[in-house]
Amino acid sequence: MATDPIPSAAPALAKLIQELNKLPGIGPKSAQRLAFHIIRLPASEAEELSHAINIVKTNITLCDQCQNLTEATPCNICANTHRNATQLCVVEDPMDVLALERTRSYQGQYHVLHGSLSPLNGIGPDQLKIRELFQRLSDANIEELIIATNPTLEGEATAMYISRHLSGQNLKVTFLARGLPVGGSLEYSDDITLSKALEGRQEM
Amino acid sequence: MPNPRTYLATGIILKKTPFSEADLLINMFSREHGKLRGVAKGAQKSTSRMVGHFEPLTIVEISANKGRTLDNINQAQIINNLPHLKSNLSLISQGLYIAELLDGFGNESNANQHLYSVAVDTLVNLNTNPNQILNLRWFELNLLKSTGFGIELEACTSCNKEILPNHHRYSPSHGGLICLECNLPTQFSQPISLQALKVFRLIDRTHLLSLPYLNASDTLLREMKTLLGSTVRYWVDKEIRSNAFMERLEQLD
Repeated sequence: MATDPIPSAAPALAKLIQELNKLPGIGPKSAQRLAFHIIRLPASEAEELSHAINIVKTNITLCDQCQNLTEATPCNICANTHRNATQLCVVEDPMDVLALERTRSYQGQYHVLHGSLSPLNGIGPDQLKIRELFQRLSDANIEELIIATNPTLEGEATAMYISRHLSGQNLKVTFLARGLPVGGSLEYSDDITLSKALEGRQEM
Repeated sequence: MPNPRTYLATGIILKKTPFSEADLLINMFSREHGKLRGVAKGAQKSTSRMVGHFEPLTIVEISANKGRTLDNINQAQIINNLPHLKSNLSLISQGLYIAELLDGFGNESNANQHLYSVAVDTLVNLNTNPNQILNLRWFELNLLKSTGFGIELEACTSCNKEILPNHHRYSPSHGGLICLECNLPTQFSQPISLQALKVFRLIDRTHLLSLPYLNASDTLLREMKTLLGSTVRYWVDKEIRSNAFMERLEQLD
């Protein structure tokens, strides 16, 4: 939540605090701490930070194919010929691509929707990169579509919307497994997670 | 000694919003306190004891502490997860429509137990009995009734005379039927068929679970939807966003 500039602070400092306060998860106190940290930084480091922000804003664009954030289109993942081009994994956000890449278990391509359906917030299919996904599916030779939206009501609704559109097409549509998180406990799991975990049980 | 700052509430989750690093801001419509807003600390983490409990359209019981601006939700237990509703996209869109109307018509810190029962009955019936095509119409009519905007279906809202068959129009702003003698300008009223009026009267005096399965035509269903939709929109005085999504799905079917 942005606050009014601190009246007694130097205008430049107050402005910096105000701008930092606009960042997600940064409250007024954190904004002050970050601002004073930046003031104490050597000029070169502060310059690097400011340069990095500028570069991100000017150079980062969306990949024509997967809609992920990239500096060049097609992005590194789309341009990598060693990856499996017949598998396409649909995710909500660019950060989900990073999370899946960290697993090193998936070697296919991605498509980033940039959100999930949220009718209460006015986010419908037209506000997401769903049209681009359908276009890509009709143009490319995709054999399996892995829908990896979040296991939330909005994520499930998005997955259902996509699969409803694709019903009747010769395309394998799969979802990520639902179940218990590693390190969680049965006692505190909600009913639906437990029932999904039971449905998806595997032989040992 | 019980802590007066701690309270229990049972309600329907209307909305959840990411808040701070790993917290969730929860909007719910409760039986005991009307609309509530509270923060569930750490509930975004996959190992949180409360993860999965705050999905919209879940009926939960919570324990919360009163805070200065926002209450802190520290425990939650699911009462009904409505699993069949959540596995069908059309039903989800209908459920979200109910949630949006509860948010629009509900008052903060002001319990409306009748409205709560109407909402829970409709959601549970959508979950178990989605073929009842009057689910949403029953909800809209009873929502208006529970919040003091009940529709007059027997007499003229202007002259109070009994309505004669096919001798009436419908006016959301007047709160129901208007006889032709009262001569309300057409921009403030719309036609209503005798069939639609009869179904409205049936819905008005029958509980959802006792409503018969009507074999109504698409035209009649659309007329009832338009009439009640315009009334709800008139009183809530804002665009109902989930309606657009619901209509889009209807076009897909």
